[in-house]
Parts: sequence; C-alpha cells; structure tokens
Amino acid sequence: MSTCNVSIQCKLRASVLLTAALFCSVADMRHATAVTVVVANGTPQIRLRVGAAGAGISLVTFTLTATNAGNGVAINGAPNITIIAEARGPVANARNATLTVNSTAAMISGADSIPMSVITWTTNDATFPVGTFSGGAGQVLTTFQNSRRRTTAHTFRYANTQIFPAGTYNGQVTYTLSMP
Amino acid sequence: MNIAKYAIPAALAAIVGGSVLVFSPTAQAEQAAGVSIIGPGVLTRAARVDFQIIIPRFLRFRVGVANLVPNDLIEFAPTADQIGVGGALAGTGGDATGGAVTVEVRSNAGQINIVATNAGAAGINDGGFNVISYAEITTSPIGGVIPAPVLANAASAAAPVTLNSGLVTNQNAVWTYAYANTTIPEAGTYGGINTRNGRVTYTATSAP
Repeated sequence: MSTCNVSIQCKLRASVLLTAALFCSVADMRHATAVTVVVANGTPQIRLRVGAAGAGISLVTFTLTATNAGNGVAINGAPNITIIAEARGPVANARNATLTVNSTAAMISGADSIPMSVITWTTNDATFPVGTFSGGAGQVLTTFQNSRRRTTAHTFRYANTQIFPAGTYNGQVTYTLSMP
Repeated sequence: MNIAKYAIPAALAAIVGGSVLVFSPTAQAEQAAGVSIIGPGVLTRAARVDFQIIIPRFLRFRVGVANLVPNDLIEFAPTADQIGVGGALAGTGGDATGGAVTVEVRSNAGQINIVATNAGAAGINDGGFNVISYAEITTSPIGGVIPAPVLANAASAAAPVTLNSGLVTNQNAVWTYAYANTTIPEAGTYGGINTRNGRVTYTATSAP
C-alpha cells in the first residue's frame, strides 16, 4: 500500500498545489514529500508590452477601397495588438497600476487629418473594456492591483462614417503604465 | 520524509497578499526590449502603436435605384384632355415614386460635374418618325447641392455638384421629372426601357 503525504509550508494556491501533487506522483508515491516555496521580497516592478515582441513599434493598418470609403461600415484594422501589463510590489505594500493611453495627435496626410476618435477597439479580456480613443491624454484603459498581469488582444476598427481626402494617414498613440 | 525546497527567484515568482504571480521565461523573452522598470517611487513605462489609414481617391454616384438594377422608368400618360394645353404633368415611377429618383454623390476627388446624355439628336421617338424633344422633360431642382442637368437632345450642359469641403463631396438630393406638355405630338408610345431613345445616362466626372 502506497501512501503519499504532502505538506505545504507556504501560502500557495491551486497551481502550486497541483505542481506539488504531480511531483509526488511522478517521483515516488511511496515517500512522503513536502514542498516549500520561498519567494524573496523584491523591488517594485512594472512591465508593459504593446504590440509585437521586440523593440519596434507595431503598425495597425486600415485599407479602404473606392467602394467602401466613407460608407458607414466599420473597417477592421490589422494586425490585432497584444497588450501585456504587469505590476508587482514588495510584500504588504498593495499598490495599483494604471494603464492609460494618449491619443491626442491626429492621423496626418499632408494638410489633411483624421482624429484618433474614429478608432474603436474590441478586446478578448473583460478587464480591458471595449472603447474608443478619446482624442485626449490620460484615457484610462484599466487599473489593477500589483502582483497581477493583464493581457488582452485589441482588435481596432475604423468607424468609416466620414469621407476624407485620398491619402495615407499616419498617427501614433502612446500607452503608459504607471504605478505610484 | 523527504523535503524538497524550491527557491524561486523573485524575478520568476512572487506571492504577495495571497495572490500568485508568475513571470514566465516566455514573457520575459517577449519583453527583451527592456520594458521592465524597477525601483522605488512612481514607476512609469510607455509603449507606442502606430496607426495608418489608406484612403483611395474615389467617386460614387447614384441616380434612382441603387446598383443600376433595375433601371428606373419614369412614365407620363397625359389624357386626351390634357395633351398640349400647357401645364406640366407629373410622372409616375422612380425609386422615390411620383416620377422622382434618389441621387447621391460621394467623392473625395474634387469638383464633380454631372452631364446627361441620350442617343437621339431629335429626342424621344415612337419607333417611327415622330419625336418629342427632351426639352419637354423637365427636372427639378435645377439648383441645390446636386443640381439636375437640364435635359436636351443628345447631351446636357454640365451641372456642378456642391463640394462639402476641400475635395470632399457627400451630397444627397431627389430629382423630380415632369412633362412640360407644350406640344401636340402624334398619338403613340414614345421611348421606354432602353428603347426608342428613351434612356438618359447621367455621368458624374471629377476634375482631372
């Protein structure tokens, strides 16, 4: 008869408990095993990724045709943009991290411009609500307590309700993650 | 009893306030560009996304039923008492009914002009030698944001569409046809659906 006792010397949640159980099962069911997880207290830290991995800036493109330009049917942009925001703080020091976006600058083609407020997004994560660029600074996208990660993929859409002069319009928004 | 201890570096895992946050090696590799900010005080990190909208030069034009199928037929059927006594007669048909058609102009190509053409130098015929001049078919309004070209045998003068701003045109109108009824033609059926020179073709053209 094989027995397996597991003692956990730490506050662990299901994922760590499962790891411990699997270890027990694979290693040797006849030996009692205890697992201790030691986590050092670290400095506060935030991380932010918007778009593709790497140093470049991702580009979302909307391509209209003569048939659909300004016809009121929204156009999906490509590609979708991955947003990963992480924050951690030292033990017993709960802090909130906030992700905002600045969409003040319009998209420009020569002397013509299109405001960023014509672009909306959908999301695959409820903690990032769907929204529309405000055309201003400091638009809050999400706020979360430290020691968490927020991940989403945004699909951007161009409203396409207005007729603009022909051209290639370029613009840029800036996402900022901050933790006081 | 065997006791295994796993010392997890702070960069890989943290347990704070009962919650577990694991920073996987994959996530770290995704952020090789140095997006992590560490330290006391307020931490701030920014990332950017570029947007691009490509808009072609275009002109869309509609007269009557959308998509040209079917063509609109405007019909006038004066009675014996009405023929030639003057006073315009309203028509029937058209997508806007009552002898009227919907007109739309959408463009970002600058000034748009509309010209109406037909195949006959003499006007609408009855299949024989009798004709009714296109001058007998009036269209209103001749002003407005999309002025209706004044119909004439063969071709009309150009009617300029009002620009909304810059190079952009986004206008709507309804054109209503009438039969002027100032002549006494031979009895018969003049024109029809693409027959007896009964078809008028409107062409919208942008500035070069």
